[in-house]
Amino acid sequence: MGVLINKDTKVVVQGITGKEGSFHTKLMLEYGTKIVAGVTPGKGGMEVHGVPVYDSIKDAMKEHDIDASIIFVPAKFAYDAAMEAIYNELNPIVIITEGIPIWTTLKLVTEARKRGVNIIGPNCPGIIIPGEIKIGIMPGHTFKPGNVAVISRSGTLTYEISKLLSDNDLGQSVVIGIGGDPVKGLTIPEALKLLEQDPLTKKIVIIGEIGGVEEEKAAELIKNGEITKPVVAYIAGKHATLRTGVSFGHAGAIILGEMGRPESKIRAFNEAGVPVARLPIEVIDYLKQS
Amino acid sequence: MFLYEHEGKEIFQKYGIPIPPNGVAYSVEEALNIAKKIGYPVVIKPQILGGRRGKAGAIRFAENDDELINNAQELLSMDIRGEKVKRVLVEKKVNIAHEYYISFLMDFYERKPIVMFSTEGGIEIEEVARTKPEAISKRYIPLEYGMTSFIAMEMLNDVGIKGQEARKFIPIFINLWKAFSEGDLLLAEINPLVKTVEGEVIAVDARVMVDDNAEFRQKWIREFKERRGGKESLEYKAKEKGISLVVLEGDIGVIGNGAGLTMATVDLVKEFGGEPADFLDIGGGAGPERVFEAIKSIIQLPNIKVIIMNIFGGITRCDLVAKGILEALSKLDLKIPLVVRLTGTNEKEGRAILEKAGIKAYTDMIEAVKKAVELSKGGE
Repeated sequence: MGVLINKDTKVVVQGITGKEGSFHTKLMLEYGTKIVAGVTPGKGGMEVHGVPVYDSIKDAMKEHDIDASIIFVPAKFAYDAAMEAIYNELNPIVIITEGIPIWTTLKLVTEARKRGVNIIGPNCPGIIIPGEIKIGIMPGHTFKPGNVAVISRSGTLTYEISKLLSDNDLGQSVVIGIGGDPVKGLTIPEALKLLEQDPLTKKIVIIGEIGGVEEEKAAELIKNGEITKPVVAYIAGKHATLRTGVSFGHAGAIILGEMGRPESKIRAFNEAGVPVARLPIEVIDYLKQS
Repeated sequence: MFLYEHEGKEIFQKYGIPIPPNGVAYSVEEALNIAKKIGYPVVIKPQILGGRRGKAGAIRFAENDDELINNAQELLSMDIRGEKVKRVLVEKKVNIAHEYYISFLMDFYERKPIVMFSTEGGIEIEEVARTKPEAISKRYIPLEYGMTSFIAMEMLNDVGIKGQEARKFIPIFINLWKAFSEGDLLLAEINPLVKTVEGEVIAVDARVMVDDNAEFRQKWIREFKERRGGKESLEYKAKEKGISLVVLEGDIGVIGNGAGLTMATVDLVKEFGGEPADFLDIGGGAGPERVFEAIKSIIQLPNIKVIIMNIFGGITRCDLVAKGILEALSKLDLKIPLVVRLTGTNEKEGRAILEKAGIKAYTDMIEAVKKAVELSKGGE
């Protein structure tokens, strides 16, 4: 069992012959991920770190059982790659690529939902079940097996907080980096619902940030009693109110008028009884108290 | 990225949405020439990104050269909520019979575009929603069909506009949708949309936001960016080098890797009583060049007293970051202290490189931030 993936999940890497794709294929293999094939159109027949490369997913599926995909294709070509994965109903599809236009993601997510396929990302570090499988780019040694789940809109801040968890004997059941774009596949509320059902997860950490309304919607679920496991939150960008209408690194980290303000997120969590850590290290204290 | 009113109107015009005759002026002289060409009376509007110019008393009218000179002069020296006015739009004044509102915007959470229309234009839509919700019609647009005439007609009927009168507005719905969906826009708002005494429907204002990620297929985004200058230029130049920079107003330069971690660093600086001068994310997998460029950008900001650099190596390698720091120290005339927090991938190698140059890197980010705040206040 596992959330979305488990140690037996078989993965195809789209964009495996590129610099990032090839580098992270090696790291994922070292972590124990079952990468059975790679796809780069026009490069079928090659091998990357011992993984056979095909021109298309369809071609790869003739030779291998494939469950999931991870995409490293540049933004310009990501629509085609992701549509191919959706069309072949791979699940989940992890899109690492940063810089995909929002209208493109919108089309991808709409089609994926129609087919009942989960997209994680875009612009995300991926998903990891510590000690079992990593479909992503996070530094594996930062994570330890355990029963705290982490959902995050960030990359490095996820590593920072996960390392604090690991150093304090709070291992992780799963860490999902859902990505920094305003329109994305899996959202915080959707991830929460999956984690509520996951027998391995006892407690949940949400690493949110300014922009959008995902944190507020998540707080609603908790307030309604749909999520019963203890949740602790951290919100990045509490002082990003110094400039509104501009993105802070992530396309989705933007305050537009009254939407996306940190105080609204913190208030929503507090009203749902979720403690919001002021400093990253306070996440540990709140988890130990919960 | 938000567009200036005149930039938004350029897009509207391209898609066949009527706008009044106008021109952009950077000086009083230019304003005068435009007014002569289009004829009085004119309205003069400062071009800023912040909006709510009316409330700031910054929308002016002129019937003749004298009035124009006085008003243009005043506006061009104005500062509206911290935004300096560099240019004004001089536009033919229209004879308003009634003001309406129309917008297309992306609902990020529901992942659907929304269209809104209201018979109450000229005021903020949030206020109309509070005081007169029946004057607003709102729909989600299915991606498969896009905006259609019948939906526009239904919406107009909803707010009491019927028959021949309603038909006048339909092209605005269709053309604004085209601009919105084909132009990778995230917001396209006309407030007010004016019906003139002569019976025309004209866009008198434009509030437009475009998706920066679409630059590779929307060539005009780049042209617009290049035309702009000033405060944005340092941010723009940084972006060209793969760096995300947002300039703030304090004296502690903040550099980090990853948006979340960098935002958290900005937050910590504030928590411990310091004032962040910026948010700078060197991005994932940065090499020495990007680290060098980051430091170079930061020291160009005014009032910088100290730099805090917070690196958690994942795909980014600490040794490469350290090399970039050394390069900056040797090539740039760095007159301010640099506090470094370095942990993660290749940490040992990175520390060794820095130690040779006499820099002791912190492991803990809180200690590092506290030190930077202390230094900004003149501590040793």
